[in-house]
Amino acid sequence: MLLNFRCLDEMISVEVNREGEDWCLAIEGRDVPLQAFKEQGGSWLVDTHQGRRRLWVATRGDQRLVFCDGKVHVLDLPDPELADDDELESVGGGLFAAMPGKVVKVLVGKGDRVTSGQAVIILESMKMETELAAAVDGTVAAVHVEDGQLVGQGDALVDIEADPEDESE
Amino acid sequence: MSPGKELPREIRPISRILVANRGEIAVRVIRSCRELGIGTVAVCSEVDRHALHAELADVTVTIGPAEPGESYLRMDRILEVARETDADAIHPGYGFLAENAAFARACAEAGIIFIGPSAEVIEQMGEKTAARAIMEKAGVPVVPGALLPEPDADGRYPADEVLAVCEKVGYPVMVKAAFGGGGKGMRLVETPEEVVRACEGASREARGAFGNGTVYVEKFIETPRHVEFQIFGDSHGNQVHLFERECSIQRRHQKIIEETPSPALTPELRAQMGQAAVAAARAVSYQGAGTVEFLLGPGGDFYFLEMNTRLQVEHPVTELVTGTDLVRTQIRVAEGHPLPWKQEDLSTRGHAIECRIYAEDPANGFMPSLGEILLMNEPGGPGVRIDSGIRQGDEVSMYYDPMIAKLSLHGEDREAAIDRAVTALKDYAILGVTTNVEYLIAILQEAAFAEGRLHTGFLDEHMPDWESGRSVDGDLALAVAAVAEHDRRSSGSGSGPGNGSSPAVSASTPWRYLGRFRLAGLD
Repeated sequence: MLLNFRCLDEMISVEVNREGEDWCLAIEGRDVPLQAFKEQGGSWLVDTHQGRRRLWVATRGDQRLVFCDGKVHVLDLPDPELADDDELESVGGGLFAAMPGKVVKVLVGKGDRVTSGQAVIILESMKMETELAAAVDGTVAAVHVEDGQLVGQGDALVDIEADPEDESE
Repeated sequence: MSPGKELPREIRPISRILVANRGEIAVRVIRSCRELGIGTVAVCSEVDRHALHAELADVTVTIGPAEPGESYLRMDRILEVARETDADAIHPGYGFLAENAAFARACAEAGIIFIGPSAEVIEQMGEKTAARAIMEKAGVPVVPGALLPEPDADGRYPADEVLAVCEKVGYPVMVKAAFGGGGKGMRLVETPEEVVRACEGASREARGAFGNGTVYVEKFIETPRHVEFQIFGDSHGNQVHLFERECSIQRRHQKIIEETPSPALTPELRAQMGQAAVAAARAVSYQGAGTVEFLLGPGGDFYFLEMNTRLQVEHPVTELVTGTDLVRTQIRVAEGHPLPWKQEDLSTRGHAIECRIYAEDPANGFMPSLGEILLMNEPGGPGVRIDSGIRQGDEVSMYYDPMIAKLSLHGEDREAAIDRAVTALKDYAILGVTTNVEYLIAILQEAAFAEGRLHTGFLDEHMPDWESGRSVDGDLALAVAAVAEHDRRSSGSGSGPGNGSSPAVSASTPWRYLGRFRLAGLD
């Protein structure tokens, strides 16, 4: 089974094969033998040079969350069937709620011109306000929320159509 | 009932307690009620209907929307529910209505026992200047300070008098605006030479900012520790202390790690501070559980800061070293029973540390992290205590305090307790929201922490730009993520934790090791 993880913009391919409790991994072509045992409750026991370790794994959409020795590792595992889809490009300039919260104020309207870094929306979570800024220069294509509205994690807030690349530069 | 023993005159047995709180403290109170055979009523907001505290209570009543102002702070609704459910007492926990004198008074007027001190005491201790005056009168040391004489028409101070006042207070001194705050009109003065000019400057600044140029001087306590004493009183005139808790590890006055005993106290200083704490409790005939907070200077000088008229978040460490149950005693005392201990009965054993697990991101400005707890593994073993109101599958919501749990450890000595804390934290897997677990481990592993060199500025001094060390085990994490994904897909169900192939731990005969390989992308 070939898995393509994304860590900090870099793709890392991992080939995984299983023989009982023995796992053969090839990470970027390098062979890595591994003994890992699955437990109840989402944890795995792994034997390493430092002895036996326990890690916990959970799935959230395309993310794999791994807890190991007090640290949490977040790995992206884009679904191959959705990858390279143009859809990702078209929402490239859009804004999403990073956490559930309340929309304090929408600062733009449909059709407005925005520049990269310009504040577009103010969100509040746990009494803290956060300003979300446009990541690109462009035009507001759609506003999905209004002032005072409660939003969930990952909800689309504002779509921004990025300006076409300026060829003359 | 032995006939020779003097029986308390007025015992009002409690048969049902309404817990006017949520989260871990509501769960904590419900547990003690069940042990005492007392019925429980929980109140909850609409988003908390399936919260642990709401499910544990005998009766649960939803009292309003998620915003605390429309639910957990609604005194009228809570009293109404108490009457409807025949609750004869209310436990306020901490926060929300715990230190609200009007609520304590309303309970008394409704004939419902408020589990805490009287409304008058809550009021007196809530007003900081009044509290300071009461404590000063009772002989409890307060931070030395004095008002300065009036400046002349040109804003110039009489140097001799100012110097005399500061000499009495003791250098270094802090010059402060009497009617201000926020750092304006404040000057730190180390020596007599600078003091007159500093007072004049502070006064000018205070007049500009607050319309009043009155300033006073207060002794400046350098690198103070926050050391507080647990006190307890009953309705029979008994007041005792249950030793100290050191809470110097705090961020913006938010405590993060607490421990007892304090590494800074000698037996003599402990006795001295304990006496002061009991004097503070006696000064207001304190009833129930309370806390006297002190600032402790590096020279062993200590000063009354304030009195908290409630059960404290960090009460478990006191319970661990003294072998007491403070919530049970709160209830017994509220019924009219005398304290179960005299001062000489109380002693401590070993060392206890509490770590507060918060849903926040220390690597990203301590932003609160919200969402569903996808996976939670609570550590266990001897000396490990967890107070939590949140389970796997629960939501950390934006409306309430982001504390997920309190992890309290008890060990034979401080070193053992720290080792136990680090080991337990490394097993405290929480996935779905970002937590401060890794940050807590980093604090516990600081050399200055191990040496007990704590002060309230510890985090600013030792961990100003802390960053997560995510890359260290990135290789191992990646490998296990890949293995888990293979398992998930081949088990077909794409199921969550707990399903799939059975554990085969015992079959681990041929030992093979995962080498330490490092991936560029993870560094």
